[in-house]
Amino acid sequence: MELRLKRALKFNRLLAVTMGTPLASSAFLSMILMVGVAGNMVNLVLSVIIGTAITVLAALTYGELVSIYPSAAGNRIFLKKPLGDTIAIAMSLMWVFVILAAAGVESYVLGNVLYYLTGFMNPFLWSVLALVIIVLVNIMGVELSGNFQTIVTYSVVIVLVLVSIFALITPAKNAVSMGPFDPVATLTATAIGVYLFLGFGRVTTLGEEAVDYERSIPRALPLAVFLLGIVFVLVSMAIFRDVPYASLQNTAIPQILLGQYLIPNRSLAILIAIVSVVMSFSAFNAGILGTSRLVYALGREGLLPRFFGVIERRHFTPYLALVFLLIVVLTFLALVYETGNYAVPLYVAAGFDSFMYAAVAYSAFWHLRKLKAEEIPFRVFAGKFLFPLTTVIFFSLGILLLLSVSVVVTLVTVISMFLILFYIMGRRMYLSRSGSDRPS
Amino acid sequence: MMGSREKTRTLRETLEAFSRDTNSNEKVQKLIRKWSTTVLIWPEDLDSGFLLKVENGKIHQIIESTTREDGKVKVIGKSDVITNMFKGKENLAHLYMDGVVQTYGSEKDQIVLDAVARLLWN
Repeated sequence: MELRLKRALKFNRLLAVTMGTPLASSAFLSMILMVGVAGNMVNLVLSVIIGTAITVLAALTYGELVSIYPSAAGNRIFLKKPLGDTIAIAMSLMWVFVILAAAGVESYVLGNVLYYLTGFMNPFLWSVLALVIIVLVNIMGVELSGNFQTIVTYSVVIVLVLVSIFALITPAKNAVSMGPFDPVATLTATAIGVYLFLGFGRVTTLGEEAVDYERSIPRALPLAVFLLGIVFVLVSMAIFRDVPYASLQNTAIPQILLGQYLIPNRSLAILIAIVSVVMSFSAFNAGILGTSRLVYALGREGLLPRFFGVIERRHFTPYLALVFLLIVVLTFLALVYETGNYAVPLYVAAGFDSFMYAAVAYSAFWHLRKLKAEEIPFRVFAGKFLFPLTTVIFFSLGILLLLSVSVVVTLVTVISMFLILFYIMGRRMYLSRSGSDRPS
Repeated sequence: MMGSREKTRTLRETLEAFSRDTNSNEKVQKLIRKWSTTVLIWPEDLDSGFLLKVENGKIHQIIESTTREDGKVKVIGKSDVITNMFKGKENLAHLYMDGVVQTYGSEKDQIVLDAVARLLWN
């Protein structure tokens, strides 16, 4: 009985961790972009539903791979055999920059939310202050307990669902267009909607018990994505239904506008603002900690400058890796404030996310063909059909997103990817020739 | 080819040498003097593993363990790989990244273990 309860609690925690990272405040900005492209309620709801369904497919591919590789090395190890170590490392490194770009947008929202709550200082300074505090807390090695994180995630989910249901049962505050169905608009909105689930695979890099990797994590991943899908459908419907599009186009805090439109005396808006701050801090904690570990490991291996492998001796944290991450996020943040454009980093993040899911799904298919049945503890039903399908879907969505942004952004993204790839190739060649890729 | 008993004996001797090196290395001691934990070394191809009890940076005890449930930090892999790793012939970061060795535990504990290995052999 006690063992069953313990397992149930642990499974709940895995669900919470999987849901916690994508539940970031920048998801609301992604919803604005989706509303703009979808144009009506039918297209919007369908795009979130389709986005959820295909991300569940991606989650299943992660589940199968994590059962084969019960290790905390994540994407890199999944991609290594089918695509080669150089491409696997380059994609992992590109992934770091994508997460950091998303963190730049997240801090942009957080700064605006904190400004709304306090009414003093400007949003940019709030963003910078929040980022510095988060990185300092990480350097000091403060870890939130698993139970606390679980409670926070479920509380956020409950508040978002209740607010959305409240919005949907009260008369609409906005003239809402219900249709007609437009497949192109729906697909484009779906592609943007991939951003909503960014980081759901973080649970695979946590270093939990081996038994979790083989049994619980493969089951928690698709279920968590499905639950997130329900939350996102409700929230996006509520925002579209109750906040005029003209207001959405000029705000960084659509979630707070929703609260104001529902109850004009600010009480609900303040509650949503507080929830939004919690979402941001929780997502930052997950994103920054996870990426710092990868930067640290690459520094240790010599694939990034070795000083990234230095740790702070009192708290055992990779502080130089964390400071580097802070500088990169601040750069993305400054770009968002300077240009007033958060759409580009969100499009690029969603696009690269799609390519990563395509690569992981291809890897799952590759492993399915190469390994014996008993070597795969968690097998997805009809994987031989579903994995190639997932690869094609996400590769197409990635291309669609790259075509949706300007030529300059597409070129910069593609060139960055090749620069990272050539850098890793060069670095590996240098390490191999100098013999410093081997322990002394 | 070594039998299970011999592999276990070799691993124990390696861990004892590792523990002596760790306890006597000034740099390591300076780094981990406040670190207390239990590390389970689990060779997948053998029936039992070893539990290292660390208190304030010193490895106090190496005891045989017959269950994978022990330990706050876990290092799991083939016995010869783990033996080579604790002899300093294999790089823990590489083994982890290549999925040859699995490590489980808190972020902090895993980084400390890696740092100890680096200070001893790099």
